[in-house]
Amino acid sequence: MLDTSRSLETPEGVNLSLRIAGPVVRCYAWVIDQVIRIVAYSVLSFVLQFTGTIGMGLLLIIVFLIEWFYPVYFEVMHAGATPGKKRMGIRVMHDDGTEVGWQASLIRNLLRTADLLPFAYGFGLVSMLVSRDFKRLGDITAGTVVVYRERPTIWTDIPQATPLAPAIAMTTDEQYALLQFAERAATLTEERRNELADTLQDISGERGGMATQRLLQNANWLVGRR
Amino acid sequence: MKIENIAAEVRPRVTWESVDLGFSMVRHWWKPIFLPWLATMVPFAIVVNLTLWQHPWLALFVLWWTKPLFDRIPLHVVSHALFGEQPNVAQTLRALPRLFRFHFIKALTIHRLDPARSFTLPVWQLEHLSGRKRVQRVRILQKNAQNTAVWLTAACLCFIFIIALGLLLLLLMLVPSDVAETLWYEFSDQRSAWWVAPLSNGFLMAATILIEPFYVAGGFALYLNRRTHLEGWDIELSFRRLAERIRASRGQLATVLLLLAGLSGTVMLTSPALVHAETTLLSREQAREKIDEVFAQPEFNTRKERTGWYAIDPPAEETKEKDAEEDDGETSWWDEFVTFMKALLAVGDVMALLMEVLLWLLVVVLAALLIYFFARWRPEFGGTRMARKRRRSPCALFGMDVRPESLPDDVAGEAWALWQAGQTAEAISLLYRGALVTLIHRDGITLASSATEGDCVRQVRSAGDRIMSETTDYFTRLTLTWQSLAYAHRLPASSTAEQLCQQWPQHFEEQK
Repeated sequence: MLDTSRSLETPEGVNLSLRIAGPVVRCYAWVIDQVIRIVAYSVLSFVLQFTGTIGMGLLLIIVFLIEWFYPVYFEVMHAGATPGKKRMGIRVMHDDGTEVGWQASLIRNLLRTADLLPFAYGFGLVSMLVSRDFKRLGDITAGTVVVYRERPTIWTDIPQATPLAPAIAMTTDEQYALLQFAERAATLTEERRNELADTLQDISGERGGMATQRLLQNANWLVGRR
Repeated sequence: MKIENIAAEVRPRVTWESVDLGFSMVRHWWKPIFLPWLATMVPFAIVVNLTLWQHPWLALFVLWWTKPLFDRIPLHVVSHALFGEQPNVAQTLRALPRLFRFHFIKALTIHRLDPARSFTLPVWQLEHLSGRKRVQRVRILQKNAQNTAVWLTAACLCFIFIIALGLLLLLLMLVPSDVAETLWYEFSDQRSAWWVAPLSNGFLMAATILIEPFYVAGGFALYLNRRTHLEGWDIELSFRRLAERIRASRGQLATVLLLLAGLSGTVMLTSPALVHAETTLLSREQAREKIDEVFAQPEFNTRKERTGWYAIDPPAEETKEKDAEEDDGETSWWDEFVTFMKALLAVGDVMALLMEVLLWLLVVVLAALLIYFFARWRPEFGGTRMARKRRRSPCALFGMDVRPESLPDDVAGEAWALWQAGQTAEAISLLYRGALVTLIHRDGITLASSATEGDCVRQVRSAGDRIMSETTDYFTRLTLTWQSLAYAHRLPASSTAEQLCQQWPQHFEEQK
C-alpha cells in the first residue's frame, strides 16, 4: 500500500505511525523561518549601527550564531519544531520516532551547507524528491525525519440515537470505522450516507435511511452510551 | 474506478500530507509516468525551439503556455495506476489524442492562468464534467483545498527555478575557472553568444520536466483527499472489508450466532472467528479471576535466585535489645567490636575537624595571597592614573639618572667643559642623559624602565610629528656615539664631540 506514513513497532508491541512531511510543506516552513531571521537581522543592524565598528563585529557574530544555531536550538528545546515548522504543523524526529537530540540536530543543520548547493537548496530538493522518506542530505546523515505533528483527537459529538449493541463482534479497526461514519455523518450527503450504510446491509439487516439509523445506534453504544 | 483496488492507503489527511502522497506516487510509478512524458515533452520542446530559434524567449513562452495540455499525461498514468490499471508506455501514447482533444481551447485560454490548475484538472479529466456542472463541482470540492493548491503551484514554480538555476551554477562550478568566467560573461551579457539561449532554455525545460509530474500528482492527491473527506472513502473501504469478513465467516460456520441478551445488550460470542474481548462484559469477580490467571502466566511470574551480601537491620538497635536482655552481663566480642568502631568513628570526627580547619586556613591564605598579588601587580595591569604616570617617566634608564632635577642648567656647556677637561665619557653621558630627560619630560616619549638604547631610538622614531626629523637624526647620532664610547671604549673624534655639544641646544634646549 502506497502511503507517506511509516509505522514503527516499539519493543512493547505498540505501533507508532510517523506521517512523513514532504518538500512543499518543508519549503514553506523554511521560508517562514527565513523571514523571521531576516526581520531579526534588520532590527539588530538598525540598533547596532549606532555603536560603530564594535556593533558591526557584534552583528556579524550574532548573525553567525543565529544562522547556524537557530534551528538547532528550536529543534532540541522546543519539541523538534522551529517557529516555521510549528506554524506548518511539522517537527523533526529521529528515524526511530524519538525526540531529536543535540547530536542529530547539529549534524542535520550543519549539513545544510551541502544541501543548499548549488542554489537555494537544490541538492536538498532533489534528495527529498528521490528518497523514500523525503529526506534531504542532512536528514540522511543525521538519521532524522520530518513528520507531521500528531493532531489531538477531536471527539466530535456523534448524533444522538438509542444505543444498540452491534449484531456482531467487531475488531478495533471496524469499530473505528463505524465511529468515523457516525462522526462524519454530518459532512456526508444523505445519499452517500445511506449508500455507505447499505454496504453493511448483511449486518444491520436494514436498507437506506434505516440502515444509517441502525449504524448510528451502534456507534452510540460503542462510545459507551446505554 | 473501483475503490477496493486503490493502491494507496486511504484515510483523511491534512491537505499538505495529501500533496506528499502525490509526490510519493510519482516516485513509485516513475517509469510509467516519466517515459511517455519525456517521449512527448522532449520532441515538442525541441521542435518549438527550432522553429522559433530566432526568438528563444518566445519559444520558452509557448512551451510554458501549452504546459497544461501535457499535464494530462502524468495525470492519466497516475490516476489509472492508482486504481490498479497501470498503463504501459504504448497505451499511454495511444491515449494521447483523446487526452489532448478534451477541452483543448479552454485549457489554453480562460483556464490557463488558474492558480489552482493542478487541483481542477482532475475534475475535468477524470469526471468528464464541463460547463455549469463543472463549476458547481469545483466549488464544492475546492473549499479548503483551494489554498493549498495555490501554494502548491507557487512552490513548484520556485522548485523549477531552483533546479534550472542550480543546473547552470553546477555547470559553472564544474568547468575550469577560465571557461566559467567566459560562460558567466556570456550569460550576463545582453548580446550574447548563440548557445546561451538554447542552454538556458534547456535548463529550464529540464527543470520543468522533472518537477511538473510531481506538481500534477500533488494536485491529484489533493483532489483525492478532498473526495475521501467528502465521500468517506476510508469508511467505505472498511465497511466493505467488514462485510466481506462477515460473509466469509458465515459461509464457513454452519450456524450463525447472533444473540442479543436482553436490555443489557451483552453479546455472547461463540464463533472463534469473532471473539473479541471488547464486547464481552465481565463481572468484577470474573475480571479478578481473569487478571489473576493472566498474572499466573510465566511471563508475569518469573522467580530468580540470587546470592549476595546484603545489609540486615541496623546492628545498634539489635545490641541494645541484647543488652537489655542480658542485663549488663559480660561484654561479648560484639560489644568490644562496637566500642572499637565507636572509637574509630570519634578519631575520624577529630580528623575531619582538623581537615576542615586546615581547609579554611588554606582559603584564608589563598585570599591573602590574592589580595597581595593584586596590590603588587595592579600597576602593571593598567592600574591607577598615578601609577601609569610614574611608569611612563622612569627615574633611571640603564643605570642613568634621568630625573630632570639631576641635570645642570647648561647641559651643553657643562658637557663641553667636561670634554675639554678630558672627562670624555662623562661629557657624552651628560649629553645623552640630557637628551633622554628632555625627550621624556618635554616631548612625552613613553619609555619603560627596562628600555635599551635601541628601544629609545625606536620610540623616538615612531613618535612621528611630535619630534622633528632633525632632532631624531641628532638623537640617533648621539646614541651611536654614546654606545661606541660606553660599550666599545671608542673615543669619538674631538670634532664630533664639539659638533654634538654645539648642536645639542638647538634640539633640546629651547623650551627648557
